[in-house]
Amino acid sequence: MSAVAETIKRTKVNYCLECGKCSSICPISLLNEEYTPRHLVRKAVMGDVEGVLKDGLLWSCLTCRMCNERCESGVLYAEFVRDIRIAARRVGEEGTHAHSGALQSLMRMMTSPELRQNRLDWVPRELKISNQGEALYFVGCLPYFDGFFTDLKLNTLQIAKDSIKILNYLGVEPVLMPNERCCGHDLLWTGDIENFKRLAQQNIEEIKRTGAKRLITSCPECYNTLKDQYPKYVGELGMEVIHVSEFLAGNINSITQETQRAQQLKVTYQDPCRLGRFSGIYEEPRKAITALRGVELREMERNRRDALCCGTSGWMNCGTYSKQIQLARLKEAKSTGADLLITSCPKCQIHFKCAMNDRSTPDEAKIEIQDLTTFIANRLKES
Amino acid sequence: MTEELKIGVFVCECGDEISGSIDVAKVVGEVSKNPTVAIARRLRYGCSKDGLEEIRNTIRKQNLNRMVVAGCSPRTHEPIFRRVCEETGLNRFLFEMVNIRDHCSWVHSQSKKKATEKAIALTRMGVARVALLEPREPTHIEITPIALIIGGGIAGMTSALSLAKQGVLVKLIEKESELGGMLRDHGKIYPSMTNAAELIRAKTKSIKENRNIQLFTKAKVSTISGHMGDYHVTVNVGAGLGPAQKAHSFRVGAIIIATGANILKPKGIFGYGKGKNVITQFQLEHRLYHASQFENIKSVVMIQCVGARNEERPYCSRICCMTALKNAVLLRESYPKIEVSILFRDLQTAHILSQEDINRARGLDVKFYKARSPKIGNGRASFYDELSGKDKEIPHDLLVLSTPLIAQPNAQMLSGLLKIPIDEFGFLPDPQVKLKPLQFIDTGIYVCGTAHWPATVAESIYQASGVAARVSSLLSKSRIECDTLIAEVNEKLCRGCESCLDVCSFGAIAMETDKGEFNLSRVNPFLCKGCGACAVACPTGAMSMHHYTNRQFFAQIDAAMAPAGAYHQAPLLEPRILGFCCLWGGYASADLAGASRLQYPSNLKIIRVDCSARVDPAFILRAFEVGADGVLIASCPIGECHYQDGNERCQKLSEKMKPLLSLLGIEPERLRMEWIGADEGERFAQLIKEFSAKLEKLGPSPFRGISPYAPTNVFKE
Repeated sequence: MSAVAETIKRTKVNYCLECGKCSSICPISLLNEEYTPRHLVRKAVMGDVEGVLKDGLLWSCLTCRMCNERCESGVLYAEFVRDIRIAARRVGEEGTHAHSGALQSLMRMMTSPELRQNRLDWVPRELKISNQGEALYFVGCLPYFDGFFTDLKLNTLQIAKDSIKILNYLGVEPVLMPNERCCGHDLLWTGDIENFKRLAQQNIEEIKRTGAKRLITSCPECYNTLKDQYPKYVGELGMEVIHVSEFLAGNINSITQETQRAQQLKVTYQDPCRLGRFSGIYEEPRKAITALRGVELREMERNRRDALCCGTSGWMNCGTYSKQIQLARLKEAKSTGADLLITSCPKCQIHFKCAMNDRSTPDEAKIEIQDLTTFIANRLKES
Repeated sequence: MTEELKIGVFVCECGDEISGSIDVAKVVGEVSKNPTVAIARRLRYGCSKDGLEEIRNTIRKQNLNRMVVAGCSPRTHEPIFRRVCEETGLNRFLFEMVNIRDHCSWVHSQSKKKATEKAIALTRMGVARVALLEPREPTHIEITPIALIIGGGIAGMTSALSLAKQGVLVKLIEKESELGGMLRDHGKIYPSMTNAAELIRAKTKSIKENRNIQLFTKAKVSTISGHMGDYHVTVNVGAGLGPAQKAHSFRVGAIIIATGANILKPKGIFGYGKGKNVITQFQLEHRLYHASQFENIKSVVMIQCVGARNEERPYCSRICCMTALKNAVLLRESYPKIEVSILFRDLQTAHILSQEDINRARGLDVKFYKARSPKIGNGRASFYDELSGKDKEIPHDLLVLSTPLIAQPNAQMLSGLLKIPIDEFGFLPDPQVKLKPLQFIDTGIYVCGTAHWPATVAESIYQASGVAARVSSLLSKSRIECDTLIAEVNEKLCRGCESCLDVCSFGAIAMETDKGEFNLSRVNPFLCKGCGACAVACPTGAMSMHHYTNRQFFAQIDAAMAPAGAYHQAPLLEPRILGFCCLWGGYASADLAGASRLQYPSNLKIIRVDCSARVDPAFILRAFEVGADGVLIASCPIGECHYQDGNERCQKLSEKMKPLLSLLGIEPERLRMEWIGADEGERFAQLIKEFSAKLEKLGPSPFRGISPYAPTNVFKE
């Protein structure tokens, strides 16, 4: 079991002081007394390898890094969970995949070298894309989300359309890969390292072939995975990787607002885990939002590093705790007095919309939700 | 699984039926290679006395904890082998039956090599599944041996007396103070011409004297809860009498609805309600038998289909024409001076005696007019006579309107109380007339008589007798076994989304309150029929199906596409089909194709589901993921689903998959859903041939190479 020992060392788990700060801030621990990060760490440090690998609650962790943020000893708990899950899978352990694992099936299917997708039909004619160019737009699994979650009436593809609209507006005609594969984030964080690497390998090859110098994406999970995880596990992309909010913030002065659309609007903003705590991108989205006339940004009490995760991660172990977290965060958003909740992550949007879709969800947890790109794209002045 | 798996596999030769086309020794040899298989044996006739004895002995001697029989169809032989398991102390649900006869040796007899390879694959699938099965103990319902009959008309009285005669205790509830229902306004009952009042008197006497019947008059049911075999009922007696009301509570095992119907009073139509000379056929009946008021009547005109077969009420009430004929004949016989005319649209005389009445009526000079758009004014009926093609006018002193039977006003309340369906007209139709006539999804509730649909007195009696026979059969048992293979909720994973509640056709799911911020789902084990619709609808996996879990399906799917020796050497040329076949439809028709020895390509592997509702879209994706070239779902045709509408649910979900498959580059034609009835063996064989040919043209699936089982796995490390 040296893989476990190696993981413990790399994620600094043996530095744990048992202070319990991680458990006190963990959103799952707050709801499920049986689960505390501290306990799992203790088991690992004591050498109870089997206890760690067979702990069903290993799969409840959202890997949101709230614990990492608080830990005084530098324990990288989220990464510890990520890597233990790999070892756990090897001994036949697995969490409960939501949607009967259909989404994981889709991801695994994309590892096929023979894969030939039809994934660009959604691009409207008025948007300009190209086959070769400096900037590559990484779409992610948005076409698959919309295809799968038909009863949620999602339309996550709107994020991609609005991102490209903004890019076009700022003079960029991005390349879109016709056979782009899932970045593999969900597989990486739920222990399926082999298939993650297969996706990464093939994506890197395809991305390099475009000859682009810069990769832009609107999904924080794709962003973090392509930028930080691919180099660690497989290889370098050899290009700059930026999130669309960074691009927006950097070009905010070039965005001429549609004055007619400048209305008095109170909005609030959800910091996605992978954009915020994982990548340190807090101010860029805010800069983009507040640059617009008539928009008042009302922060939730828990914002930036303290932002609450949207409650579901990697489609794993979704259930009563996830729903309670979603309701809590939505109520928090609504109680700021904002009319609109802006997110910059398709996953946050999907999970919040799922919770709001339930019959029993009260009005105080219902708020209109929009991606940052849609919010900006709707206010661009026609040139 | 903490215990070590010890699987015993018995491959039956079925005489020559299986061994003629399959190298059974090879199957046994291959399956023995599996480390979880403790022993594999071949049997000449597995179901014979010797065969069963050998199985029993092997289980005991080898201390097996799982059992697989590869042989004929589980539809016929599963109970036999399950019994053998129980006899040896092995839980009967730790057994899996693999069909290598009807689905293999009988239909692939032209190539022993291919048939054997398929048998090996099917057996491997069975072993993979049996390894994941869990023991289950059946639950029982104690049957309360009392029947509740709501309604004391002819249907209610008939079923009450029939049951009482068979020794069954009956509680008979009637809302009026007298028994009889609509019969009380009849004079003579057609065609026997029995005096209705006398009939009611006689039956009432029998009922009151019968010790097995407890009669409540002026009584109404107020609450009903529970399930088949054990209902808790409260009845209010002295209904409408305020403080004089008394509530009775008791338990019953079955409920018969015999609440009857009403006659439509067509206010405002043809001047009804404005004078004494416009009456309904029912009221005419009353006058003919009870109060003769025909002194100044010279001409009677009857109009049929009044308030029926129109936009508001498009149905035919079935009894009005025969009643009009009967009354017309009686009028002419009793009052020869009165002219009688019948204005009809069509004459509904399904009963042979009723047909004879047309002749009798004609013989008695009753005038028949096929009248279009009759209008009434100034004591004259004017209309267009279709048979002569001329407009006509007839004077009338008495206008008799034949109106339809309409539902009782309390039908809606009853439907809600008992959770049974009600149609747009207020009648209570049996949802599955082919499989469960006069019964409902909760199999303790029955309906008979005009509450169900307009019926004659004779028909009501037949229905009531039939229902009584079935109820007596049910109540003669002291306890019955519930469906054991049902759904169950894991509360930690439930989000309270109520998707399960929305799809359950059996009312078996309720949301539990007091569970916190949102209600959690709970399955009623007495009502769940095990169709699987809820498990598929559940987004988190909180709802799982016993004996049909996702993991068990994935194991079968993976094993189906795994290599099988020589067969896999030419995989790229032969399309591989995975078929999800429902036990009652697709699976049964495959059995029939086998029994008929119809030959079709051997590259189909069938996975059994009890209802196609269990087929999760994730299974379809998994099938393609592990290298299937085509996926088939064969279920019962619309209207014939044994679980109400499972097949329709499955169709909706699989249609939704097609755009997703297209995205992935999988041609939507690779996923196919077909309605196949159990009697359509030929169609099944034809379908496989055609689907196989189509898939050959499309070529192999792009995902063949990635399955961990594929010999051409590109990622073999």
